[in-house]
Amino acid sequence: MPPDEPLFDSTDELVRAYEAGGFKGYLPSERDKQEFLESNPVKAFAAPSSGAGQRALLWGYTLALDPGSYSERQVVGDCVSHGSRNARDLTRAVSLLVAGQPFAWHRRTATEPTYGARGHGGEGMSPARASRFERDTGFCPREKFDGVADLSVYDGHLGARWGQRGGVPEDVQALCRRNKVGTITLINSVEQARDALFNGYGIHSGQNAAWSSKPNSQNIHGRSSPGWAHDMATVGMDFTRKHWPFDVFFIANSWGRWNTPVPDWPSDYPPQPAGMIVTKAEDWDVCVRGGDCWVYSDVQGFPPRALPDLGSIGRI
Amino acid sequence: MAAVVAVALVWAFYPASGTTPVVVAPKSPVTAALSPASRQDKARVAAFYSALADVVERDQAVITTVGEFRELHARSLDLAFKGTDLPGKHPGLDVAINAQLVAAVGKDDVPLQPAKRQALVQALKDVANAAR
Repeated sequence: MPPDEPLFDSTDELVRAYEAGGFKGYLPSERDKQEFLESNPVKAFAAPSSGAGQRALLWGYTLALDPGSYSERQVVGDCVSHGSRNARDLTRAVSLLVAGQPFAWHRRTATEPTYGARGHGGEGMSPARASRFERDTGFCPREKFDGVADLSVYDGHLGARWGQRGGVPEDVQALCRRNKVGTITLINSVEQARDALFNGYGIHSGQNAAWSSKPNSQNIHGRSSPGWAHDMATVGMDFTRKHWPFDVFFIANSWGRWNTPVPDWPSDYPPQPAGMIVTKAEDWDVCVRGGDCWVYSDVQGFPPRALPDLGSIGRI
Repeated sequence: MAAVVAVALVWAFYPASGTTPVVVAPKSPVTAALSPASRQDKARVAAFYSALADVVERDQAVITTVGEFRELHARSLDLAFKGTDLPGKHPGLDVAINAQLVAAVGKDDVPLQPAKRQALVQALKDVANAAR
């Protein structure tokens, strides 16, 4: 296939490939994982406070700063880079809006450099390799960098090509080095995921599991088969059991409008992004059981732009 | 000896009987800039900033950064007063308002998280009150 031809022309094609075609966007790699963990300064996940009985609807913070977030539909096998981007942007949004970190949102960040660092020319990536790139090299905003790369609009082929040509170009890596993910840890339980979200940390995970595109009678998306070798970000949880009589997680997918939203949506919730999966915690457990569930915190933000004034000069 | 010093200090700093200390609050730069203004002009400025405070306080989704507030503020001023006699009529008013807002939220284009939004709302209300 010519390098610039979309692998997936439509959402239907994308879903079919993952569901029936055995397409693998998530490539587990014990070697990548060990390499990451051995060089990671943080050995074990620790959350400042417990999220038991609480809720954290964190995607609302990302939507507040970037109403178009969660709208990019992957056109190649770069789900891991979408999952990791959604996790780090979510962590950034929470740290700005809740913790009041003195950084600017600036804009959504790009997926392409991460995917370009997958270490091979084929499709798919191991989440550990994405973690390593974002921890050690960094990430870029969705912006046009004249003479280097145009990352302003999602272009899956760019990352795909970089992987085919031996990796991310040095000048792009130099741009990425301005912003890194400070802390990335591996988690292995539903409780750790709940606590991570409650403390404002984004999560992404690779797993072999699928969810139905239609909500069931319990107002959730149930698990289905065959599984997808896929990576997605988990962007919220509700363990209050007030609206759903059981614990739920909210997963952001990168397939665009591929499923039917759950019909009974709480009025005090942020909007349901296109493609969101609402799942029971006991079904979500597969995301940690696979051993590739990553929590992002301490994401380095962008320095704020200094404004000349606050709008009154010369106008009153 | 210590008792003598204490008595002397109390005597020196105790206000003379029958006098009430007068505390003069410094005039706000906004009030100062509007001191020669007509009652109508003061009311126009007060109404504008009171309404802006209300909008920023109720909004949680549209104005999310200091930069977006700047845009809203500038455009609203243009829509409200451009083409009228107000812009430039009271020298120093624009600078005084800007200084009051900058003191509350700074000039960095950062997100308006709740504490910063509240500080901005209070500053806008203070401008409105100072104009009255």
